[in-house]
Amino acid sequence: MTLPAQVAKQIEGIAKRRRLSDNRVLVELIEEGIEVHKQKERAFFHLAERFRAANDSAEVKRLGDELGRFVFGE
Amino acid sequence: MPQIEVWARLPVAVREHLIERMHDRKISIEDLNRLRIWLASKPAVPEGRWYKDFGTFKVCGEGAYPKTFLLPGQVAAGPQLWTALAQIQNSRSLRLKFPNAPTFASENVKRYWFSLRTEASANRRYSTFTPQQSQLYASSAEPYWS
Repeated sequence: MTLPAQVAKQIEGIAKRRRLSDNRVLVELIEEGIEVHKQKERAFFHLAERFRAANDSAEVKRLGDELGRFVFGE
Repeated sequence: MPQIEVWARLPVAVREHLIERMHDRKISIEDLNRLRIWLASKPAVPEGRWYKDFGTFKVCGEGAYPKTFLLPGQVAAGPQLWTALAQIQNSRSLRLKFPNAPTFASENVKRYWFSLRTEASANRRYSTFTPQQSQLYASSAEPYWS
């Protein structure tokens, strides 16, 4: 895998500061990234289920707006 | 090519319509999640009308604006957008990397009508079922004085 030069520099900087190898830093960042991805997905499903369960029109609008921002970005 | 606008920049009427459509239970939450993942990749879309199929619904748009969600039986206008995998520059190398046939089955598969390769050994230029190495070994194993 080839990293963009700027990213590679940042990895090197982190590795130096934390006195770890570049590979170790990469593994940690990937693990953190996967965890964040999973959390975001869980939050999405939780919100989508609340939105689907809502009956009150104001609540539907509020949760729908939140879901829209989640799906289409802010 | 434009990119799809974020939620806050969509017209209010479009946002309200999309909320109403997303509330439809015929649209699965899993497919909405697939839409979210696709949008996170910041896909480029054509200037005119387009649509993308997510299984239980199609998202239809015009330029940078998504307009509606259609259900499977409903007809969408404009060209269909495909997954980014087929569109990326190096798609040919990916096809070669992930063949349709599993590795073992591919041993006897002649994948392309124009291919001269008929067996696995043909994939390696110097590989044969009776390698020369064994012959060399046999000859070199003989005593020097004979």
